[in-house]
Amino acid sequence: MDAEPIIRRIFHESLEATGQPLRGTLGPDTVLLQSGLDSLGFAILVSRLEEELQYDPFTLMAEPVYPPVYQEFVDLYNRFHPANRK
Amino acid sequence: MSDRDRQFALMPSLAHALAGWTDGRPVVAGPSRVFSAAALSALIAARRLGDGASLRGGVVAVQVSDQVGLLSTLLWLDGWAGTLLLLPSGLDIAVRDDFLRRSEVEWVVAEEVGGSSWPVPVLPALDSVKQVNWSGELPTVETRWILPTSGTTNIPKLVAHTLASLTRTTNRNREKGAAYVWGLLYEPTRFAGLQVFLQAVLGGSTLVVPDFSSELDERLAHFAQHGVNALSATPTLWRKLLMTKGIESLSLRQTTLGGEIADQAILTTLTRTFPSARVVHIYASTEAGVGFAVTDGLAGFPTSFLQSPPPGVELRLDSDSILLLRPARSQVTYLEPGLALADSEGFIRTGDRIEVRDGRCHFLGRDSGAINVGGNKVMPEEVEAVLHLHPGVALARVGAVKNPITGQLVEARVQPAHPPADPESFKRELRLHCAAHLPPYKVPALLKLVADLSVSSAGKISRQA
Repeated sequence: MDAEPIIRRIFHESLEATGQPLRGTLGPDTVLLQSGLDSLGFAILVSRLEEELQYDPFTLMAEPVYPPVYQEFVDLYNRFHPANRK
Repeated sequence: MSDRDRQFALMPSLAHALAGWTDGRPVVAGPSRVFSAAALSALIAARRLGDGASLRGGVVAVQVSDQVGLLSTLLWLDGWAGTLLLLPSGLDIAVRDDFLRRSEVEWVVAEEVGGSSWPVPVLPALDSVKQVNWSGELPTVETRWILPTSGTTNIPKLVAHTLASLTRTTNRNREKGAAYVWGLLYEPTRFAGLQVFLQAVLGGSTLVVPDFSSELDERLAHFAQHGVNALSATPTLWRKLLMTKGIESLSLRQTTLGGEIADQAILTTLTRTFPSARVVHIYASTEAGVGFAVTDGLAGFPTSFLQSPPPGVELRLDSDSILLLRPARSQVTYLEPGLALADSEGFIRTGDRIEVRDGRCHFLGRDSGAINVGGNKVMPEEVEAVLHLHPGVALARVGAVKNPITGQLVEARVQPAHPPADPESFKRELRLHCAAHLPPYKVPALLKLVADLSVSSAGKISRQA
């Protein structure tokens, strides 16, 4: 199970929610905090993903890590996906 | 002797703290300039004996956008002005003039002497002055500091403090302080930034001031270059810092959290990321004007604080589990009467709801239902009122959802007036409607359409539903 397409869609929604355009392109090496997404946009992204995917890796992790680039963010969601945890 | 002269004595002021600075370390390291204690002391004397002489004991407003210029201005005015009103830069002129009137301001210290149509005489903010020959000590006064607070409404309140009330949780051990180098993450016109400035000056630590228009990673590089080992931020900003390149190159010895509820996850992460750092979270109440620090790295505070409180405050829970505080000496007053009223024993209701669990008092949120989105307060009623303006909304209820980044986010549950043909485009329309009326952090991040919102017997929307 790859959550990337859903993450990509909601990523754009979250940018729109904070009224920010995407800076550059969204690729594996995109630095999240330089993509146009601020703390609020990042928070919206995580909450809307939880609504859609029914889990939040940040609260499932024993010790939260804060991924700096897009691919690490996607990997984190894939690692905690219920289908991939079994 | 005038009344103004009579109140002068050798009161401890910020300038006095500079006398303890004998080892040549910089007091302030800005983006392009570094100030020693000797340079700052010379500046203070030159202004007090020179063009600032007539400000002695007067009511002075300060609006300086250059951070280093602002800090040097505060250093000569504390102990000199009778009252100091700190104005954020970029303040709306009408609001600014209202503040000046309410505080009865007589002088302004600002960068731009002309052009800003100040209604009172203006002195320029300077960072270099002609040397004066002066080695004595000028009598000083206990300056009253007036700070605008954002509050939970859109109308800022003016709150009066003293240096003593502003520095209640400040560590004044200069021997220990000499080992710390603080990085400034908030502008000093904000309460959080001012606290760090005061801690650095009174604790004998160098303060590193970045260029606030630069990106966060560039600011961290500036901090690393100057050996910053102590930072203070909200939990939300800490999470952002942990995502930023360069944070790992700082050898932090002190991490301070404040302004929002610090959850266990962020405290644990900071403890593990910076193993040699002290992790301190500060609880501060605008209502009570006091705060206390928790240093054990655990969320909330120990229930033992209710019996043996930290210095400067007494703590109590009322029958609704709301935290009550009694300052050791009441040093904070609202300029507008009737805003913060203490009970007959002097306890002030903070409005913060507590849950006692496992020997700890945990913060649950605001009694008023106010939502804290990364340090920004949102009243649910305000967002509900905006939603109710939309003809497609029959009823709306706004509340908080927990969020691992900003602590909380705004969630709205909406009962449509008529079942929408396309629920997704209706939700989109509601979001755009809210965005047209509200700043981004108040716009519901999550929107749910429900068939029926429960209404209490009193006809109010049930917040528990």
